[in-house]
Amino acid sequence: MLLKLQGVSVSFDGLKALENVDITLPEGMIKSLIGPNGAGKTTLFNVISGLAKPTEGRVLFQDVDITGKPPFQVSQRGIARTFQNIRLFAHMSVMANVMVGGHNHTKAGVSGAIFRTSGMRREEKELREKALSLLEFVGLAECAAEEAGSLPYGRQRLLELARGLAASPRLLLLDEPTAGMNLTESAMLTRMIGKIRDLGITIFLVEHHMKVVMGISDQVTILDHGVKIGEGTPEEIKKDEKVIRAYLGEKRRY
Amino acid sequence: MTKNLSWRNNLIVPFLWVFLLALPPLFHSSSYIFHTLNMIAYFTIAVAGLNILMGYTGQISIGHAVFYAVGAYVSAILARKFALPFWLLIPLGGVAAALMGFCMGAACLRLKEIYLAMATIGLAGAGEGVIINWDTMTGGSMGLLGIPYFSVGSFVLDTPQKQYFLVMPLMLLMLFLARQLVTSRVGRAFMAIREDPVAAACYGIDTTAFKLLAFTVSAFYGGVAGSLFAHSTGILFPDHFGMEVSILLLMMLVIGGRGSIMGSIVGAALLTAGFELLRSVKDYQMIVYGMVLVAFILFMPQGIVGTLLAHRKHLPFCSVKDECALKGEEAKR
Amino acid sequence: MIVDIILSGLPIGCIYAFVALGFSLIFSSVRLLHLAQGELIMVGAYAGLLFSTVYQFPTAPLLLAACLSVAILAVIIERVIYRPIMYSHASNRIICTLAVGIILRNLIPVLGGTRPQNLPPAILGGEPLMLGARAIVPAYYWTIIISCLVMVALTALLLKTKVGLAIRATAYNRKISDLMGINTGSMLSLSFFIGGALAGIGGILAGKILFINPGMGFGVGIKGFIAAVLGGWGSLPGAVVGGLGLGLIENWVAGFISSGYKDAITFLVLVFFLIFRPQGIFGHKDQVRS
Repeated sequence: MLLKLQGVSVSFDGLKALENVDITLPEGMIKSLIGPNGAGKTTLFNVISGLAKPTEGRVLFQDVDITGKPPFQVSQRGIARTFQNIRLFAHMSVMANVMVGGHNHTKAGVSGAIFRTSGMRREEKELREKALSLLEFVGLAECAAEEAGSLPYGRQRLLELARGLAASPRLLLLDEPTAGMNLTESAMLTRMIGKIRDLGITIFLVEHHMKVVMGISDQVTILDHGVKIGEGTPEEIKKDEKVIRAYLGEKRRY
Repeated sequence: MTKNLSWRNNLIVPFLWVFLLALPPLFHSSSYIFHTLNMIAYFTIAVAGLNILMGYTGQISIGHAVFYAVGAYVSAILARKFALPFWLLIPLGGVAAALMGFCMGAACLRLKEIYLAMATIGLAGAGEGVIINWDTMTGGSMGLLGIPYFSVGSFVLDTPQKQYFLVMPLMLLMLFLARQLVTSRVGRAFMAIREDPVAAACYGIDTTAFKLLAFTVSAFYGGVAGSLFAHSTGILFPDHFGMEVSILLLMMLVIGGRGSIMGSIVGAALLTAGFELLRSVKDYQMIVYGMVLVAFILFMPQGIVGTLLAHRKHLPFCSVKDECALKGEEAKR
Repeated sequence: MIVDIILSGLPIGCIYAFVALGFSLIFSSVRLLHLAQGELIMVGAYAGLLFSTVYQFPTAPLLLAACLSVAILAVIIERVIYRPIMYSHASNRIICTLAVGIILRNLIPVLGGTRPQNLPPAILGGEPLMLGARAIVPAYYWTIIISCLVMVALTALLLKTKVGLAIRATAYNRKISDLMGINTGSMLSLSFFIGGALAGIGGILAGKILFINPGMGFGVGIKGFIAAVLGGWGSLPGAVVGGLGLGLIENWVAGFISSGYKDAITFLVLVFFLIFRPQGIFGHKDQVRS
């Protein structure tokens, strides 16, 4: 079991964002997290990546307790993420953004920077080549030299994905990666996610586009008002009463 | 093809610089010109340090002159007491300032932007207060006198012309080191912190540690500049280091360009030269400076070099963006 | 001894409080560290000088004139300079306020000369007040009286009027206030207007207690700044407490320890607070730490 959330609860000033959530994620799986807006999905991601501290419960990654650890330590263990409100390094180049993704796998410090040993130069060269191949993978290779903030929205999301992959993570958290994309772009991203899984990376996905969710997930978890109200394969979820009610309200619309 | 490109960029520019800097001794011998050029060098080094902290890492330091002061006074006091050689005094001045920068950073880094700015003002003021009041050590407002000049062997650097030959290579060295730092993984981490500290943390960057590093390095630069300054005229007064100097450094940073090492030179050169040129209208000088600064913040916040960079892509000796631009294009071929 | 400290510390403390109030008010509305606030006090003092010597204004109209002129100046600065860069990086905005301070500090000597002066004796004049054997200079007791009146007026404005409510709402959360129909742009200008007005009155008071010279803004500004930090940045009661407190502490240090180290110790108190309690006396921890 790669990731385990046990009894995780998060309260902000009396508002319960997450209540007693249990989640397990085995290696190699693509799991989606769905739920109406405000259900606590991003909060859950924040708990995993260390940006939010749970008031109760534990987060175990590869059987190691990472609850409440600072984000930079969590990422060192092999968890990378993208953000719902894109958090790119806007004034750095596309290439540099992806290279920062590889920060954990390089180690040059001040002396490396100043003395430029062959070890450091090789490290940089390998990082550049890896970054470029990732940019080719997501289709951004010709924009490598442009300022990240000047890219159109859809491409910025792809850049975030490339940056996440540069971290060579074991677990990739994708927070609404297709938000703002049209159908063609979403379909292309869905195919990409499949290829990423083939690389051996486990994926945890927050999504609103049901086509993407149903098309790619091995398992779907539903969150509503901070509580897990359902879990199962896409087929099972489609028929679940509670899910339909959560998304569509009491009255059946069709 | 790839190799040619990088070799060309890596050698032409340094040669250009050495050539430019070798010119003045050939054409002038006026002490005044050399004194001004030396002042430009001191400020360039200090502003380069400030740039690393503010331009690259996105932090705020309003009272930066305090590091300049610490470097100057420590170097001067040590020189008077122990007659150390220049290659010890300069680094020691830098280290003393760096220590102070480290302590400041450690104390204040968790504060939010504006409060960090306030903390830097407060600490700078405290530092100045200490300098003025600890007059047994620093001479207080009466000044510290009798500071020995640097000497290389038996050659004493007692005139601006002679000091030029130490100051300029040192300035080039410091700028080179700064560039090495910012075009590396460390530089990328700095910029990531500036752009989005949350995302930076989620990709393994210990923001507190890197911010502390930035503070320490930038303080070191200030200290080195201060040490050079202290041994140029033999006297130090606290008014050389007050808030006005901090503001001057900030002006040089904004006008020259943040996030660009070359910008530090441009800013320092323009403002120092401007100072001298406007000496005759001293009363209006600061008004002009203030208005120029406001104009830059309103219309050209990236500074001269920053704005130029935004439009052109292959200016060497500058930020990672351009190196990546270069490599990106090479990789395409 | 204590009484002396209070008697000399309170008036200067009131001036610091005026500066601190200006800082805190502007900060809470615009999230701007307005480092030119001390210079506004200096402008107020010079305005007072102008109106009292050239136009022979007596005290009350003088206060009004200084108050209005600095307030209008502050609004002009806000609209022309600060408004366009409102969403820029914080360091740019702070540097901009420093630049404005420099312009003001150097413009005034060109217009008014650098010789230290004082407001005419007729301003804030009167008989010294006798407290037992001690004589309290009229400027001192007028300062305290006027300060109290201003504080009361300000409190009434902010707490009891609709406009005050709008200002406080904008200070609390600009976006929501916008959605609620409050014209937040005007509110920002209004905050600067009030900040300027406070500086104008403070300038007149400072003009009697201190020597009027172009550099006075810097000194008073730093002290007011420290007072605002001590009291809690953005907190108006904190500004008052901080200002008065600072005035008293300063005089105590000057009296009991040494008047030379007075400034250094003030800064050390600031540093102490910034390290251990950056939110000041009345501030909140979360406001300050990231």
